[in-house]
Amino acid sequence: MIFVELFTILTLLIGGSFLIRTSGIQGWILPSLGFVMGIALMLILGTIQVVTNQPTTPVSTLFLTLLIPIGIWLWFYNKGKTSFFRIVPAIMVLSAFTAAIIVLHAAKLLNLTPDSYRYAQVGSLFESGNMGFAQASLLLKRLIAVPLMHAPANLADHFFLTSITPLLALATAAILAWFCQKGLQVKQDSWWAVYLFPIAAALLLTTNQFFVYNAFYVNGHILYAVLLLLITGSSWLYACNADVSKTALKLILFLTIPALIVTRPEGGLHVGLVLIPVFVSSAFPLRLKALLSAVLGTSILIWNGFLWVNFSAAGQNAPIAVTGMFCGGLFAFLFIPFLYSRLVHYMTPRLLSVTEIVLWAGLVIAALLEPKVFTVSIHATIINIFFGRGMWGFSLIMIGALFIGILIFSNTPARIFLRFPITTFIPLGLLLAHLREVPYRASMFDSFNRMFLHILPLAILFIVSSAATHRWGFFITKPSSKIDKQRFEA
Amino acid sequence: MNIQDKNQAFEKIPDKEDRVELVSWECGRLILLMLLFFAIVINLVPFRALNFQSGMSGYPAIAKLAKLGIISGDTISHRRGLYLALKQTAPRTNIILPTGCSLDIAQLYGLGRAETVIYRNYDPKTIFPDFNPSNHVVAAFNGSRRLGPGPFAIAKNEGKPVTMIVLKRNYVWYIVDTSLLPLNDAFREHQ
Repeated sequence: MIFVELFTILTLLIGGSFLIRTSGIQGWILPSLGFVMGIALMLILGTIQVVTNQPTTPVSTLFLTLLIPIGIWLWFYNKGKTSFFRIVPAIMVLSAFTAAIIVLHAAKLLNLTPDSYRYAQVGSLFESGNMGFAQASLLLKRLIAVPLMHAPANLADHFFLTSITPLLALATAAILAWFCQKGLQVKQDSWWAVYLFPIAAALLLTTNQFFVYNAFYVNGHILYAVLLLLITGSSWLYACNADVSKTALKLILFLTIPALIVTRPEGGLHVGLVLIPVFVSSAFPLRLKALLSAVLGTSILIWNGFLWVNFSAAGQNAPIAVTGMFCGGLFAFLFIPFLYSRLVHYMTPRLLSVTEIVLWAGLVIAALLEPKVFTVSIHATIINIFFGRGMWGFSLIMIGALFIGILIFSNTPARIFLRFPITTFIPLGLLLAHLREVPYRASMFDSFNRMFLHILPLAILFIVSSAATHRWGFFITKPSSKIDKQRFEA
Repeated sequence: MNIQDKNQAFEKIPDKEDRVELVSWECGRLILLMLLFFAIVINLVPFRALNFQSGMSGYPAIAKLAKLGIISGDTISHRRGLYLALKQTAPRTNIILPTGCSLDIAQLYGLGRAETVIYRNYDPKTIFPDFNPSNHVVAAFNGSRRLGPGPFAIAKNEGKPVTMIVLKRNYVWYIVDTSLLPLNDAFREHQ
């Protein structure tokens, strides 16, 4: 088993590192970012295997995850556009990962719930080439990302890789610190601030007990959190003109969007939402916006089309969630010609406020139609967050208070990219309860309670990014012109 | 004002006159840093509802920090224990189900790690007239828990995949290695 685990993790690390290195990323973040990018690439390749009905086995997926990036790197290397890894740091990183895998494997720390066995079931079906037996309803709820991550364990007759989620959690903390550092470097000139704030951010994340629990939990929350962080953080750094290769930021966006869509059912909807600031910002070229929309639309259409076919094959009607997401994917494609039309002039930052108003209005309407779902969900959420049932302790209260304080008293460039996904999370999460027609419950395993983990790294990044604010205070003047108003909205 | 200007405004930070300064820039970030470290301390404060160990042991559905592969009645709900036991005790087996059996084929392949699963139209009573659970049972389940001390001595015949059949008698599932049973000839040929 240890060899399978070593082979899998090191393949993801090496493949992802070659890929991200080719795009221009260097330095201490390379292994962490490379590891997550390796996972994202593997998820995309595995999903393609599944939806195209190819023979499924993690061996071929892993080899492709290794060989494709090496091939791309070699191509660029021959053209003199990239360089080789430095030998000593590379050996040190490989040794550190190997040691961590051995220790984590020996510790066998795993948190398992019935959900974990559902993921294990799909992972096993993938490894044994029996994906045809996976029911559409199972795939609709569990999707494919977590099963693909753990599928290689079946090669050694196990269900789970014990080290992959803890290493992913560590990589999340490192990536959060990197985003903080790169973001602060845009406006900060104090060396201590550029180092201390990222360290504080990583510590704030890794000391959160719910995060620690999830670092050993066989589920997709840590994966979802890091992918969401990568999408929003990359957009933010791109808009800030941070000292990071724009090719790398674009590559991160292109790889993480499809990976997030196959991680959780609400992934497609959530990605569409967090990309709205990108679409209204002039910092992103039109071509990039069109490509992002195409990646979003293609990913949603392929996965939901696959589910649609599976439901039809089983003689069932596809649920409204599948049909709705399919329409969403089509909309993402129709959005591309819109970007090149004169109508694009209506794409102003005001759209962000409109989106938030629509979400809250939708929640009000849903609450009026189904008051019980709303009241039970709100009650459960309050108990989970404020009374300790959700196992968050005081951490969410503290982070929430910091978030609100910073929202009022500071302002940093382009922080809308970080703020918008957080402020839309509450209405979106509560609306999902109405869409599934089941209220949330007071438990640490409640869906909404666990979903707070998805925005936790992002909220910490938002808080830390305010260290770059040039003025702490509050507004006194009312905006008189449209341009001032837009500044306030930002 | 064109769209480009509007969007650039959206990305700019407000001018100084937009704000009343509460504290200086340096002081503000020092306060923020202190608040961050205070939040870290808050994270580490022992909080009863947050206690990692007690939280996990106090909730039966939470799997524990345990050795991989251990099947716990608390963790495994309903029939999942049966499928996992199949995986543990008889990996890569050929499984024959009676027609109309309600076992989940996806779980037999997935959690049970079966090599093949096929349906056969057979009546356990006629095929196994001498079936005696105390002698022949390899694994028996009622809901989530394994019943009886039956040894898991299956799938060990020279490493070849064995053929298992699944029976259900008196609401108890039996997974039986056909090599241990006095099968009637008709069924043996049917395999």
